[in-house]
Amino acid sequence: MQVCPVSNRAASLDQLAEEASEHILNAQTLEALEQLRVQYLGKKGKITAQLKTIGSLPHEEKRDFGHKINLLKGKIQLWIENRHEDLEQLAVAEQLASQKIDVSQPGRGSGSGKLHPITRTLERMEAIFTRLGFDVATGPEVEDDYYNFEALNIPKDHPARAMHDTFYVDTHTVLRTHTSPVQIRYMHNSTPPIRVIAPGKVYRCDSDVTHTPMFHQLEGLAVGDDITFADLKGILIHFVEEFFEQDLGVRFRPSYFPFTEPSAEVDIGCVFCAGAGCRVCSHTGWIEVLGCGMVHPEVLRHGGIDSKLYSGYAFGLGVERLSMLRYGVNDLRLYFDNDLDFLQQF
Amino acid sequence: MLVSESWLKQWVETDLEATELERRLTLAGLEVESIAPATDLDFRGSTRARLVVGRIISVEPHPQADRLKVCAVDIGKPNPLQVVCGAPNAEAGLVAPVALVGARLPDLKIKQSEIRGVRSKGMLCSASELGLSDQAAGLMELDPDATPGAQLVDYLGLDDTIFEIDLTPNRGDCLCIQGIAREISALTGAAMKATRVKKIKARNAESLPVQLKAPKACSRFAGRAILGIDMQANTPDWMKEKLRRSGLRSINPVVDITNYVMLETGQPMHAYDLDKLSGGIIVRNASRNEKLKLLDGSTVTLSPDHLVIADQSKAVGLAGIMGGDATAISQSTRDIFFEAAFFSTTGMIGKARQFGMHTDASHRFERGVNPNGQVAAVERATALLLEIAGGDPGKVCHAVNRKYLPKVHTIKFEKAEIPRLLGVKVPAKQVQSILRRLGMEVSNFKDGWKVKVPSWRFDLTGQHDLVEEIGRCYGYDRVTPRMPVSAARTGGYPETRISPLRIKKLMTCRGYYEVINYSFIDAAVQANLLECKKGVKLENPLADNMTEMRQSLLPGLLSTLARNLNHQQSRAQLFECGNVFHRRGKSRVEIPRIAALTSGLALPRQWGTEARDVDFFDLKGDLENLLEIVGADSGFKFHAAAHPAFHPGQSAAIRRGRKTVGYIGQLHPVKQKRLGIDQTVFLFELDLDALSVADLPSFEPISRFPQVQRDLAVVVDKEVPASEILSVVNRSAGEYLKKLELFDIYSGERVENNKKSFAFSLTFQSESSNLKAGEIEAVIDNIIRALQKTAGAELRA
Repeated sequence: MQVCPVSNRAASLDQLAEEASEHILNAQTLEALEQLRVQYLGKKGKITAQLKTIGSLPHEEKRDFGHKINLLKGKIQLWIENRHEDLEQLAVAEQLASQKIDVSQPGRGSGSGKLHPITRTLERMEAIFTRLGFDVATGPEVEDDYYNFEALNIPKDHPARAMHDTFYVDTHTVLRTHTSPVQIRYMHNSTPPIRVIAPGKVYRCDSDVTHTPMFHQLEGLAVGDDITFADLKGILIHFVEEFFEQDLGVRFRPSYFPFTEPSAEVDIGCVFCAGAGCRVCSHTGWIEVLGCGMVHPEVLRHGGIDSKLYSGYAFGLGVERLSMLRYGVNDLRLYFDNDLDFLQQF
Repeated sequence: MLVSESWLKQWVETDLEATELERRLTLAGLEVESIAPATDLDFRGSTRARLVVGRIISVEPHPQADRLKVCAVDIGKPNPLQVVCGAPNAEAGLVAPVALVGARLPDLKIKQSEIRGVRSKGMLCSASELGLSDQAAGLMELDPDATPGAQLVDYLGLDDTIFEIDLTPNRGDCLCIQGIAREISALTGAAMKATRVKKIKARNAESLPVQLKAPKACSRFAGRAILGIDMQANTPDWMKEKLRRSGLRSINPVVDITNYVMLETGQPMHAYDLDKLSGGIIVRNASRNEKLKLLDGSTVTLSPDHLVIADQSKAVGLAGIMGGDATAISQSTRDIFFEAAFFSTTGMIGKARQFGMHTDASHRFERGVNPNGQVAAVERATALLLEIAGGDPGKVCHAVNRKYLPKVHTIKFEKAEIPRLLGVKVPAKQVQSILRRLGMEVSNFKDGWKVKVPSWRFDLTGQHDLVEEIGRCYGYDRVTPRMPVSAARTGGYPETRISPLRIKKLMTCRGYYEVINYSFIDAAVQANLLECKKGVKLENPLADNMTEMRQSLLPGLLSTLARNLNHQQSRAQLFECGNVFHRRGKSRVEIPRIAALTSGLALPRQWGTEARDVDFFDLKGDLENLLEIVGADSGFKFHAAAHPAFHPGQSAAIRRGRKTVGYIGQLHPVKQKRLGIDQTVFLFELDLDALSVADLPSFEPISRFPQVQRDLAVVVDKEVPASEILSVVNRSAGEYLKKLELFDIYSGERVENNKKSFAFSLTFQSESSNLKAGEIEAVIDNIIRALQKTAGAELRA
């Protein structure tokens, strides 16, 4: 091997460094980079070749040249490491870029169904009353004449029977026309103080735009030794405010029910026109939502409660009515058509 | 009931505006449903002066038109007005309303015009053109002695408001002007105007004997004969107008007077043609199959529980409902007999309805008429008749059986009852004043008052009734609301109780929509689908498709599905919770159930998921998910079992222990077709009681030792149910089996005909040690042996 002058050797090292740096930086794949590593640092690599020349150098140059080559070796190692890291990052970035999805595509699955608006409304009503300390009771829908009428102070031939459009199963059995029979059944099984609600289906032989032959009521009953009309007002005003989440105004209008005395119908300020008068409220500004009153002494007697010692109030709320007002439904019959286009809205 | 404001104000001294009266009445329990002007006519402007009374002086035929007439009309001016008119009743002497040029009628404005070449300077009007009636039968005929030129608005008193009052059935006493006026007096403190009924002396001896043969139903009867009346007389305009505003038509003076007295006093009346009555009056029960032709032309067949008014030979009226045709007033009537009777409510209720009738009289008698008002009504009618149609009155015939007159109630009214029930103290003076204005006699009594209730208030029998009277007159709005303060309550909410709401919410989470169907359905459809016995039938169903209470929730769900499919839905998942109604011997039971239905695609159409229709196992998965609400080891089992509504090969009973608590299956294809549904449907129905109580969770320690998993595939006969294989594995796998999953079921080319393969994965874990390979192999061998022995299974190669 021909030994080059010192200056030539140094120059060729610089050239090698320049060449290695350029190649490494231009390596586009990890494989190419590995080839370069072998090319420079491998057993048969260019740096190794240079190291092998040291033995043939004059003694005074050995140390200096060896030092330079080792320095260059270290540099090349570093360049390769750096380039390796860069290439890895690029590869990850490329992979991620290729995995991009359209996040606006709809999600998969079956979706969920909905509760019927009556259930939704009743749940809300029950929650309000149970927070006020009312128990929940139920009773049969096919009911004895006694519980539906007699015990509620509606004897045979009472004109109020005409108000009820009753479905008969036989002479002594009816489809309950209201949830009030539960009052009697509950009184039979408990002692004052009583506070109970009874939600459920009721039936009247009537069908037109504003009547369906089946609908839902929520009955309320409280009996105690200090229950007055003021308590009835308190509880119902609270209920209306909480149910509608606004102060609509509530008006108690004297009315007549055989099972309460005094009796009242309760109107709320129209939710659609805020009392100004519109089609829904027949331009009165008021909408009737329930009937109520102080339990008639005869009814207490039928319930086994001494009307001299105890008094009570009762009320019956129309669930469909409240639901329609709450959600702005304009046709009662929709509740029983069960059209999915309707049910999906709740 | 329609009530004229001006008529009311003839009875009570009040200046309150109509809207204020409306408010007061409504807040006192006499709900005013609407208030409206007495006419659609807007006479606020100059129209008032341009509507006058006119009298036709002469009528000439129109030269150019056969149907038109040229009338000269006296309107109180020196020169008559020329008006072209087409009304058939336009003839000389007729007095009718005239709208002068410039008057605005509801539908037109009057202009001077030329009609086929003849000038017309106004219009002779019909009642409908004035907005007084829906019918237009020629010109409105006014009293012949009405003054031409008088302003019509004043003459007819059109400046009036009509209240429509919706009375509750306890207030029969308010079905008249007098009753409403009395209410206004009690509510406002306004005085009643003095209205003494004049007694009119008899001018002849004519009298009919009256016998009360059914005194329970009729305890008082007053009547009077009036001879020689003038049937040509007209009902005066003021009376016609009052009748019109009360919703009644004018018929003839006699009938109009009976109606007028009824509207004024609340006492229904009737008038007979005296010449057609033979002998005296008998109020009696009808005989069996007695026939009576009524005023409306219909003939009713009576039975002994019907009350009739009869003469010596025949029934002449259906008591309290309608008079008979044979004795009706006609144009040729000369002598009449007035009737004012008291029929008890108990005798009257429901009677009119038996004949499909509802009359002004029956409406009042069913709600209660003042038992002391009959003689006064007869006197009032007599006075009016003499004034309008002349005649000679006979004696008032009056029969009464006091034993059966309603009792006059005297109530001991304790002061303390008012705050006890109303929660408000009303000053004693005010209490007394309210009671007195309502017609009660009040005297002091220790701690309260003794209150004598007037005869017209049937509804007041006890203290609570008086409390209501005080409450409604004092004002419910003056009771201060009070919120309850009560002791806290505990108990009543066991953790294991499952509320129906939780069940419903679970179903919605699986994609099901809740529906609520009517509880009554078509009995034939029900019998067809369920092949069931007769259930709870309605005696008076509303429609043919609502004749019987449902014995299952399935028919309702199916009809809801059919309706939705018709509305272009193709996929439906529905459920309903509700009672079904069964007969058990002579008694009835109501069973709460839940049922669900699924039909159409298993999932809504979506990208990346292959569309397929639902099958049995989609629904079964949803059902199993629901059953788990009770607890992981709920003990529910499915057994292949027939159900009349289901496909025989795709139907199972849901059992818990020995009890069948429900069914699941595919709707029988034949029944599906019959219901007009053209896609397969899967349904289940389950007793809700089976889901009412949940297991309380009970903790088991969590093992930290590794799990070992093995897969196993076996081939069995096609008929062997999966449940059997799984139960054999469970029984033979020993204590370490943690989890058993059936992950593949295969039948086809790779197994023999009539065979299928089950592949399942078994996970083993011990709670106390690492499982050794040998232990697992022993267990697997045991399972394979058991499967071979009991199910004829072979290990799949």
